[in-house]
Amino acid sequence: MAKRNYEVLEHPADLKIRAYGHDLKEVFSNMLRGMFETCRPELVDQKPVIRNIQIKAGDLESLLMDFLSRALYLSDINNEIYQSVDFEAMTGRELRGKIKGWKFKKLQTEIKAVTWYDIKIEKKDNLWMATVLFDI
Amino acid sequence: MLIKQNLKKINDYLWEIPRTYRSDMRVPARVYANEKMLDQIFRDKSLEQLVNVTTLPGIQKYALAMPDCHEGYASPIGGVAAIKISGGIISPGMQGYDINCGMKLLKSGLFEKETKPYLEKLASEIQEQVPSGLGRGRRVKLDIAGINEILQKGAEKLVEQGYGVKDDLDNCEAGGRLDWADASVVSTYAKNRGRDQVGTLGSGNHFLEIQKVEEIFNSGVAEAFGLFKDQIVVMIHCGSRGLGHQVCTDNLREFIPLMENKYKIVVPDREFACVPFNSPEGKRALAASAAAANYAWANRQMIAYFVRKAWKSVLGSRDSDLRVLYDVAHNIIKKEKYIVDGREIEVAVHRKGATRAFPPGHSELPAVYRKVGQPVLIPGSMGTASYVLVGTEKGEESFYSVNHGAGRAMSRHAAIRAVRGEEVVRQLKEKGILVKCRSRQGIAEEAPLAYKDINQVVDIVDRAGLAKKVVRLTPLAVIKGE
Repeated sequence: MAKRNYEVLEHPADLKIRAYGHDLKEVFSNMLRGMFETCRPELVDQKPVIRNIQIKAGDLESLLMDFLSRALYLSDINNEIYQSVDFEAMTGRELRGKIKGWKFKKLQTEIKAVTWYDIKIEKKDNLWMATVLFDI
Repeated sequence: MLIKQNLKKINDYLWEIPRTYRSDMRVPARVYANEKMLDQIFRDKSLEQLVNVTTLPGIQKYALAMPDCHEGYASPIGGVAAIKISGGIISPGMQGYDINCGMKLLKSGLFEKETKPYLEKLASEIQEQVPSGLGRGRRVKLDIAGINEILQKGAEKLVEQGYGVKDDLDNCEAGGRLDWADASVVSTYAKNRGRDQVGTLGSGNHFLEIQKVEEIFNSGVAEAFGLFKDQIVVMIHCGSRGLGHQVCTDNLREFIPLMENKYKIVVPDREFACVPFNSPEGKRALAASAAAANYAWANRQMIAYFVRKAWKSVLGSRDSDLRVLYDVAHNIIKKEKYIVDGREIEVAVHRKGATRAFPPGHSELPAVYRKVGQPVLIPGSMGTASYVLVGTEKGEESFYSVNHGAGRAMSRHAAIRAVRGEEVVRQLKEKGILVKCRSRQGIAEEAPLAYKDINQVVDIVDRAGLAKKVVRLTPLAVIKGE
């Protein structure tokens, strides 16, 4: 496990998150967690919800982008936030698995979209690091 | 790195980054600001992002930034690009995710003193009636057929269903409906997100305010707009909600591989993903964006319906009609005609956090405003003044575009560190302003100190002549989603 799961970086107007992980699965999972924790949800109860997710993309950045966008879509239509991922498959071009979370009553912050602006995912000193700007 | 010395002063309110600054610039970049505000703008990446806008294929004259500009993604917020339709591109990221985020202003016939005893009740009832849409409180759930009708017909559909009157459409940009919208090109993902969000406010800087007309700058135009001193008005700020966000997400996702592989267009940032305007994919994206814009007009129409309901329930026989002054977008792509190099050409004006401001005589204005010009609705930050301006002939130099608000000067994080929500509510209460918001953190994020001074921003627009001040509005009650 990386020392920090994620951190919120300074941005004049929107939400910039940097997530960390020892492998791709961990960095994707931590970005998902950071994204929804920042929305400050008020949960309905502790009953877990699970959604299947499967993404294919041309490159790693697009894979992360599409993964987060799909999670945002599922969150919006089901009133759910997600905390972790159980991966069944994960390559740089494809992922398959289950995202887990809870139903929410309300969110204090709404993420409008995941942006392509300055999206980065890279490995440095055996640690994966991803940076994403969310429009809020 | 861009420094102030790279800029050429055109006049006291306009600065230019010459085309020579970077080799990939197709046109210069221009920013409306005074010297003090320019220093503030230099604190973030707005102007570097504006330089990136100048590289878009087909861009005409210059890329523009309004005085409220701040760092965004792709273009700065407060950015304008007019792109020649023939040979140019369409860039959904140059319009933003909240397609047709915009303003609507409702005018009452009441003076402040007549509503003062009911203000608290009015604010509470409006908060009750208008859900934020972030989870609880979504009131209307439509099926896909119902969504398709809204995507095709916008606010017109809601008026047909009894959620408004014809006058609402007459006083709305494009009559609340873009004819080139096509519901069939909007994804099921987007439609699903839109099913229960018609009539919801959202969060962030979206708000409703009960305001009064505090100062009149131009009595003739104020009269033509039906505005008078101490009049109570209601301002609505919101957009196309999850549906619009998804349409933009979908368009960008489709455009990136097309741009890189099929059309071989090079842009400085994938967020500018674009294709030729007249390509099949470009036409489809325009039709989908227009459908999302229609959804936003329907959303504001439904919110106006809820506000009117609250108004009636609190004021009863003292009720006065809430008539629409105007409804105008500040995130949109529109085809417009301008003279460039002595020839009239059709351009796609991409406005991202910039308000359209048409001059007197413009054919797209409703008859009632054709003589005086378009009402231009500019909200301030929470608890500060808002303005109504009027479009001018001189506005042609900015493709009839002005600012869309005060513009952020401080990050949400910094605002939370600088002030507590409770303190903001107390300070506003001392000024006689009620705040209805369920999230104290949301209030801190939107505190006035996090924004530029709206009075200075609007003064620059006024002095530059892009639009002229008509009235200043001050808030009496602020109602925020979350």
